[in-house]
Amino acid sequence: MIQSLPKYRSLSRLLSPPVLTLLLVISALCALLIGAYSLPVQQVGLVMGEQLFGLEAGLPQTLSYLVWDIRLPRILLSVFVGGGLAIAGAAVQGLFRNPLADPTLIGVTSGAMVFAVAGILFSASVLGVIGSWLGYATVTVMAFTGSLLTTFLVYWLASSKGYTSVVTMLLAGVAITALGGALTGLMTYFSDEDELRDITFWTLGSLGGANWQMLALLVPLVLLPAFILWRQSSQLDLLLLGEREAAYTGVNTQRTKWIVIGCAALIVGACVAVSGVIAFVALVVPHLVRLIQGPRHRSLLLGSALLGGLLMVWADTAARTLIAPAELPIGILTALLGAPFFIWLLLKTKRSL
Amino acid sequence: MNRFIIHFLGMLALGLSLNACQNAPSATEQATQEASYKRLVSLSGSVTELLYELEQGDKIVGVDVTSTYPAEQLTQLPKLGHVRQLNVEALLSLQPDLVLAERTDEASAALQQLETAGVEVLWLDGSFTLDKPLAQAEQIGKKLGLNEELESLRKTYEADKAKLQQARQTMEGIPKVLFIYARGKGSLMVAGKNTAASAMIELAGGQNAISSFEGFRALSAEGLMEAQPEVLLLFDSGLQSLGGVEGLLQIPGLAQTPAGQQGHIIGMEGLYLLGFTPRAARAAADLSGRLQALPDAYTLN
Repeated sequence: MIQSLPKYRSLSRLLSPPVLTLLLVISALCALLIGAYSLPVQQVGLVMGEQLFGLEAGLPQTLSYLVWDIRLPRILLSVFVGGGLAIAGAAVQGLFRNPLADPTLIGVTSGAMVFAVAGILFSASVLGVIGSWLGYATVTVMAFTGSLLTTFLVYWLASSKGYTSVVTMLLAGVAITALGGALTGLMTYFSDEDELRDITFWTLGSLGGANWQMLALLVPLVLLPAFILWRQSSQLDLLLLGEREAAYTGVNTQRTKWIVIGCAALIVGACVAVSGVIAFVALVVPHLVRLIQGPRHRSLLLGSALLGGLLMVWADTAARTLIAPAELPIGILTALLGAPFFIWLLLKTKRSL
Repeated sequence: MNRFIIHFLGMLALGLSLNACQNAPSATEQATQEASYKRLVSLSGSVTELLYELEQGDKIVGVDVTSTYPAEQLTQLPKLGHVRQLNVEALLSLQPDLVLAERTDEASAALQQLETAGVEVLWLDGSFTLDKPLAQAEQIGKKLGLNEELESLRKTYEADKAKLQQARQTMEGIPKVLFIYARGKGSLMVAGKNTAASAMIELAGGQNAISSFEGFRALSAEGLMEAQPEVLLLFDSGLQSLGGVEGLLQIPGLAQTPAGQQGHIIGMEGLYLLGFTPRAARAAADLSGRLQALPDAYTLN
């Protein structure tokens, strides 16, 4: 694993959790002021006052809707999706003792994708009753179900006689991901023009559909598992020594595996369900934090969550303003920024080894 | 590292602030809104075309990605991307007082948000018939209070329909036409019943070579042999994506069909052919003419 390099020690103090939290809050406030619709600061302030403290500012309905029901939920959603993906990534990397691990590897994303595409394709026909009952939420619910099902499938494939092999899990994840890709491809092939558009946009990710109901569903599904993951910090630290060594020190490794995989699947499943596929956040953010703060999971998990949220707020702000009045899919943006950064990170650590 | 981050954030902030400055007049102007509609956003290519035909083009403040005609006028307008991937905030920043969208996109979450935000949306009913453009024009005309424009559009359109009738009179036989929707060699779909393509083929005096299924399906070599199309119809863009007529004929099974053997291949512009725009009657007449102009006679049936 990449160790904290002495060079970055000062940065480590700079990016401590309180500072990151402060930056996150400031970023979210900035993001609230930035958008395709240029609004003066006072107006945004008035809307917030109106909504939070019941002020009577007499603003046009469109204005308060814009700030309170479009911008704000979207920003909060980006905080939780970014933070959720990053903390799940950090925990999974710790569990697999592999810095290249990513929740994608245990099949979460691919399972979500297969089910989401099926939701887009069949929501009108096969899913009939359920589809019409769920309405817009069909794809979201399908994606979430798919991600959990595949994760359990992968976990089950890797378990025998009460023992779960981490290596087998990784391989099973790769196989299931390939299978998922094939099924998605098959359905894509039979889709018509409109469905194809929907599928493509979904796989590129977007936070565009954010609303308060969505947040109300997502927040507990991210916060609760994230808290449980964080409580596993010391077990994850010990696991870094090796699975057997950790067991000798009294860690119930089987239980830790189960908790980490379950929580990561819940978080990533929920995030993917509301936003589609957003690449590289789960992989790159934990690396960055590990580089600055070292591999101790207590600070790593917390730092990843905060930094993930912080970066996602800015990525989404860019997504909705850079090519306005159109919208850039956020998955493209995170991959465009994340991949070169990851390569830079590889080169940097290669030299220092 | 430090420098890198600062640099990156700086660039980002610069980009964002520059972008924010370009857009939209201040929000306070929104407050004074009049009853008549002055700022229109169209989220459909055929609706955009209708608006221009009804001489409302100068009121359009934004269009979607499928609006491609009339090309010259549209280059200046903000493009809002695809109707299924809308940036609601950006749409609001154009301060439209009326958004025109197809009824088929009613399920879009973004458009629902727009209505909740207090922007009026006019849902236009669609169908694959020659009446569609007129029916939509009437819906728009009623909303915007256009009488003369509507009347003159109706006249032009009726004249077009008469020309279509004329064109069809000289038609001998009913050619079996297969519409192929191509997105490159790997993705070829053929149009079955209840599609815009099927409707257009019949309007032009042909018959759809496929009657065994509804909607679009992937093309197969054996299905092609069974359908025995006498004419292949494609979008210009689709034909291009295959590398023209030569590329098309390399697709297994195609060269063996009557259409392939005789080189009966027609390419037409997408929105014109299947958009059921105000040019629909003209497009049908055009297709009818091109069917009749093909070099060899069809087997009469």
